[in-house]
Amino acid sequence: MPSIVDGTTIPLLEKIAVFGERRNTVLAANVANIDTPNYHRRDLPVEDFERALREAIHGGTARNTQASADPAGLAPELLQAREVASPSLTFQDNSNRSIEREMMEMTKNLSMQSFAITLLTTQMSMLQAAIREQV
Amino acid sequence: MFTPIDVSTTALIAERQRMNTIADNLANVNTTRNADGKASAFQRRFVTFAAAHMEGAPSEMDGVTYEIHVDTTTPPRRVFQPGHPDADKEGYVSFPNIDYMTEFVNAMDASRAYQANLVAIDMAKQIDNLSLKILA
Amino acid sequence: MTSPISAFNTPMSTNSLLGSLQGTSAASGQTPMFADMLLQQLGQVNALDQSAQSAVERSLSGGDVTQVEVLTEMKKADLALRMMIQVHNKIFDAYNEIKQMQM
Repeated sequence: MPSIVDGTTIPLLEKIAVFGERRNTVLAANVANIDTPNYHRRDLPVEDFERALREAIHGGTARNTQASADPAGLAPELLQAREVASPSLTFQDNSNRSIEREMMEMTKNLSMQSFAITLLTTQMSMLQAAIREQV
Repeated sequence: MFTPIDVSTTALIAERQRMNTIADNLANVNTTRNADGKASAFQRRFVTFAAAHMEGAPSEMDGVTYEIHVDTTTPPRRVFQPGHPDADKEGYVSFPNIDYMTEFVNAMDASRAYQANLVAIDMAKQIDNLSLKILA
Repeated sequence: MTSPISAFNTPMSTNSLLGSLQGTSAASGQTPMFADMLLQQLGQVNALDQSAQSAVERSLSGGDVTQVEVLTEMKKADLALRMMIQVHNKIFDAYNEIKQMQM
């Protein structure tokens, strides 16, 4: 379905923002369970997401992809949290949690999300200014 | 839509309860009688955490629940004080099985976990505020 | 290999408004009519509006929608509507100007 925002970077930024928001919840769950025994840290597949983004950008017009119910066009498997083995100190119950690592990941995720949302907002207002013919 | 804040709130509640339990233990570190006035050493309470499913959220995003347990396995401290009103036949008084260092370390742990979850809530609020500007 | 992310549309791709118009005109052998473009735009505005509505409903009834999605859908519907109104105004002005030309 052609959309008025095609040809801008808005669809790309939207996908990044949606992914970032879901990842924020998973990381918040990690922080909440920092003292829960036998809890293993979970995360969304970041490398897969970045690789899929790159393919979508370069593939561009020629590709027809599988349909997905998500309006932002992200397949559900990218939003599936999995348990991740991350390098960390080991505890008595062989879990791999470290509050510093979780806070670092959350901060990085937040920066990426703020960046994407700010760019998205700017692009939207540029488009609006063009339509209204008024800056 | 507000799931990250809910998840962090469950952690705040659980850690707060942990702090309360620790404060309770420290207040009763020398209590040798129970509420009925009989000679019975106060038993240490502790809190265990478990991951809890949040309703309305996908199953990967778990919050925390807590349970309060009474520590019945650690034996009480027995001190030889024959003149004490709660001394038993051999002159030993049973003091609670509470160790200052353990409680302090647990308190520090709970406090930093509480602060980390506060920061997580603040981050979620920041993103919400930022994304509201999309419409403006 | 199909990508898990749906492809991005560029203005001249077959999925965009201009591209699909050119595609249909190439198929039928006629130049694209202005009326077709307007009708397509109307359809697009309608679709975006419905998608924004459903996003709001899903989010407020506790569904699994992120806040960003809801806000961008609403903004896109808003922009499409404004665009259509501007196009209508321009057509109207052009029509008036032509009408007032002295013969």
